[in-house]
Amino acid sequence: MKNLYTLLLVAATLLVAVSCTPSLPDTHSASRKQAEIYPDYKDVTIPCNIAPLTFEIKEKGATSFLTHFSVGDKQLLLAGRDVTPSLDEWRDLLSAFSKPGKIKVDTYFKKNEKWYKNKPFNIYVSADTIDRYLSYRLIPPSYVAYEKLDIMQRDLTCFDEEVIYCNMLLSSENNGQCINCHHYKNHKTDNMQFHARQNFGGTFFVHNGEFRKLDLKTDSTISAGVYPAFNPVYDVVAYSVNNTGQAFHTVNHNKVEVQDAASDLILYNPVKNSVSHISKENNMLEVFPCWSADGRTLYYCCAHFEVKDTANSVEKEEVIRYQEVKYDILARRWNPETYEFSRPDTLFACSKMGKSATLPRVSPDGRYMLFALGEYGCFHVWHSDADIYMLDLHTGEARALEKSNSDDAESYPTWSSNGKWIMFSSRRDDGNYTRVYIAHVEPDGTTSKAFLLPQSNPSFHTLYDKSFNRPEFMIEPVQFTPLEAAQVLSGEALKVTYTENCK
Amino acid sequence: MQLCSFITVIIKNDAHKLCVIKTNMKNTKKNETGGRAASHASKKRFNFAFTEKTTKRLTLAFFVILWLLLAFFESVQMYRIQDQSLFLNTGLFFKEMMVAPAGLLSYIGCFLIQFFYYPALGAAIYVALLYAVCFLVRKVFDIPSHWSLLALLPVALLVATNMFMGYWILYIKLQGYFYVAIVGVIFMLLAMWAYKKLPLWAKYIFVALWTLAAYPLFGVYALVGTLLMGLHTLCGKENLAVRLSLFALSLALVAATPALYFGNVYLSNSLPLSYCAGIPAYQWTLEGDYGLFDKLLILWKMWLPFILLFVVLLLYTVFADRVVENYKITKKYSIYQVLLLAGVLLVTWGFWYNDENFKVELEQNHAIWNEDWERVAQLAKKSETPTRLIVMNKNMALLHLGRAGEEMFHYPDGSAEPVSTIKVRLTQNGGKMAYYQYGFFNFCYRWCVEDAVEYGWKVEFLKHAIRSMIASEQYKTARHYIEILKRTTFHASWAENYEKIIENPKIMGEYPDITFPRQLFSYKNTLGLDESHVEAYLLSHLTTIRYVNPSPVCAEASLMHALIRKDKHLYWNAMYNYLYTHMHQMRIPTHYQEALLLYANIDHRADISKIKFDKSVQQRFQEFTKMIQKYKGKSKELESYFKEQFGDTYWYYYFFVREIKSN
Repeated sequence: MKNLYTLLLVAATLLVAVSCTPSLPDTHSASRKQAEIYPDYKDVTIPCNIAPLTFEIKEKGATSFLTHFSVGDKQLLLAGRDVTPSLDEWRDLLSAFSKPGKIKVDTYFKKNEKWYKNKPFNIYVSADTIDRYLSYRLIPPSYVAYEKLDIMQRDLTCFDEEVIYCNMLLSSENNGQCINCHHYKNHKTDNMQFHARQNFGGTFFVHNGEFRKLDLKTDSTISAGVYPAFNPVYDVVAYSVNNTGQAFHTVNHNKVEVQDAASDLILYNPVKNSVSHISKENNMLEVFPCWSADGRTLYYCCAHFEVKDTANSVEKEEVIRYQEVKYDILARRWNPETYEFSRPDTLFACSKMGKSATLPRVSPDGRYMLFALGEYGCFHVWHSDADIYMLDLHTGEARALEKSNSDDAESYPTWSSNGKWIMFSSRRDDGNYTRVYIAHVEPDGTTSKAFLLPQSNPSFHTLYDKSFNRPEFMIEPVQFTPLEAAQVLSGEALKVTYTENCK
Repeated sequence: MQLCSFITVIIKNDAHKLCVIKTNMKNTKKNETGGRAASHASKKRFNFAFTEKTTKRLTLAFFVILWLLLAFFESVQMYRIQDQSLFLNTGLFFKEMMVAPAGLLSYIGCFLIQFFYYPALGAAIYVALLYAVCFLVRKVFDIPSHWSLLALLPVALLVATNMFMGYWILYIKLQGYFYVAIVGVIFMLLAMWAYKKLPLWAKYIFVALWTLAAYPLFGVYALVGTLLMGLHTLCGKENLAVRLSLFALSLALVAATPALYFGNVYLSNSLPLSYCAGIPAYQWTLEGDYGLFDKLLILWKMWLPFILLFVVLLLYTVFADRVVENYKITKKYSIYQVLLLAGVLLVTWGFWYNDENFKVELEQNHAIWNEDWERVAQLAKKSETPTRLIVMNKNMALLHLGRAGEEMFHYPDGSAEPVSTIKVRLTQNGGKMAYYQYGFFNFCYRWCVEDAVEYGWKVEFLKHAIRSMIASEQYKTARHYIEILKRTTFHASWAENYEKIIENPKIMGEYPDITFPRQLFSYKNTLGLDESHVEAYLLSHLTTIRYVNPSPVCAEASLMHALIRKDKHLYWNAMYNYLYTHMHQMRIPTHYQEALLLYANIDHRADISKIKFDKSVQQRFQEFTKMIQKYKGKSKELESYFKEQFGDTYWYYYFFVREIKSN
């Protein structure tokens, strides 16, 4: 009797399994269009080690859906509006790619009891791998208020996500902690940093695997270090120091302007624990440092702004003349023997073109520079006209990444460690939330259509109410727990000393 | 008061029908079974007494009255409470709720709050759960039915945790707050019930498993449950070593569990707050105007019902089953029941927040969402000492109704502070609506986002965000919030209705709640800050911003605010714009005539000879100026006289309405 029950159970299970296995419809009509899907993964180029691309088919009024992936002999058929290949199924598909190729995707939908087949689309697969980890700060797209902020690390080969640090560990209601500017040396985590402001403020700094809390503010600098740039070769970090404010648009869709009333550049020597000025000039706003691949040139953005009405403060006049603040990209040679910088050269004079460049990032091979270009100002994450540009440092030619950009704000570009992939934040989906987009760098320096960071649930990006801020590639996970970071930050900060030359 | 009188009626009825019980301990059995004869004998001495039936009826009456109060008397507040919450039918929402201890309570709380969309239904669910608490208290603490009023005390305290809130409904950060304590107590009592039925050896395992597994789900309620379990055993009849060891175990678990989870599982709270998960705790660290005493007062007031609740449950654990069994139905028993009933009523009514301005503000808000501007204006007459929000809402209503020029100074004016332990700001209370109605869509949206960061997204914020983004033609952003709102149970159709505009913007004209504010959205962009002072910002900007081809509504809004500011330069500019945009109007409204006469009188350069005034307005102005001249220097003392004679004029507002603090 017991065996009979077992047999019945197995049979029932098999029956359910067979009945749930989707199959292609015997007959169908051809639709003239491609399926509308979200996220838009049509004709994107992806790395061969990326997590499954999940998406939702947007066809209205349809009752059933089928999606058929095919790569040569390998086939995968999935049913449902939400297309969510499992990790194993996806890896099996991608295992076919030892060289570049494509996955053909056919979608079917059933409407009024009749099946239709959309025009197929492709997902191109590159043999170039992508760095395994990505880190970002999760922050609501707020203006002034902040509450819970997390710096996260995500495994790009799957959907695993972990907290690097959460500000609530050291926050109280009237003394919250803001965290920002996570940054890594050469995509590794043995030399990295992030800042904490207000409660238990300081810079969480990892130097050759050792954790410390720094107080980067000195009497000679206008603020503690803000935007960091680890030198890829030498043991120094460049920072901007900024006096920053915000103002809000009453009508403009950009909604908010973040402006520097003053900013300079400093160099930090972690061995001597000292800082010195790189650049400190009146009426010049220097920001966003970035090193060349050989570590001997410092690039940065710089705007010239002078108060016209002497009755006004810089802050007040910047609010009125905000569209006149335009940043160029400058370069200074650095001598690692003497720690001295040359006079600045203008690398890209975009202010003469009526534009403003921010956030330069040099490719690991030193050939290209990515940056965000908008009409004015330094905070392009809020500027819908901002796009990502690529500057060929050999030829001096700059061009917009047409295939990757959108009609909304693109900002914060960065390179993977092998220089084959770029990543940037974009507000193209809803105009207000920054999300991570990834694009492949072709040998000629152009980039492919960018794809949205895949999530296990295709409706994640539709519903999630936080921005993915400051995406950074990493080749390894961080080497501390959130609690360890909190312990370091709750301790005494090591105060840096100011010298004329921090060597 | 209604509650008290209703219950008194029930007691009297019961007393009449069931008569009185003899107060003799020896005769208690007789009393319980066939006390009719005994009661007859003592009828002369007592005119009422409690029986099992009486307590049952009173208990039932308590719940019925509570339902009536919530479903009808407080229906607008209940509706606002669900508007100040959000429940999404998505896995992501569940996941986000579970990032903090007591996450399951928040999730269930948010789920249940949404039913207040229909206040009667929401109130029925609320009362049903409270009845479950009442039932469980009796079961868990072995309270006999004739003592069932004892079980009402925790219920009354749970009601108190909700109904004392008032303006706190706008500021509470604990998601699902309205139900968190109720559901937490239910789970706690269920666990306690199970614990009492277990053999001794299993109690050790149960208490450990319960604490470790239930803390993430129920937070502080799991910890209190553990404490109750330990205390129950400590007061039991087992040998001392066993009792002490179990009690020590429960104490250790209470102390260690939050610390164990903190940092390892939960990162979104500090360690001290981890011990309070599930009760509002952040008030302890309020910013700004709050001194130590204020904070203590706030915390005391907020926590008092919780403290009393936990104390009552602890007392029941220790004493309930011993004490009540000694009290049969006697005179003393009746006195205790009366005291208990009084306690229950005192707790329920004593904590119940009842403020006229708060009620008016709630009802105005409700009416504004329903585009019932007539009601918004009428409600403003209900309060003699209104808050600024009531006055602002009234002005908005009159602008909508086209009667501002005739009526805006007919209503009570003032700037009463909202009665609350928290400093209530317009940014959280009505400011978003004001920004929206005056066409400051970016600012409305900004405060939705800022407050969502602070207090979490709420239905009301989503609706404001959707409308302001549609009205300013930022459709992509609007769609994001529409997609979220579509995942709610009761507001999906609202979202779908507005989604139609995104799909076909030409139909925007069919939505009066969007088209009216858009008439005011014709000013040039500026960069600025409101410093969290909504009215001051509106007063400043509506009177100074540069409109591109101002509509008549723009000009009138500007003129209204110039009148409020009493600034002659701003007034002349606004009046010029008004006259320019209302050239074809046959008659200038009364208040604007009044202002013209007044400012022309003050500023002799103005030539108003070609303006046609009503005779009655001119006559009254002459009277007013005569009176002012006559009582020069004493006019302040005669304010009430002036109010009686000219209280409905701009002149009275100009000269006598002072010390108004804009928010």
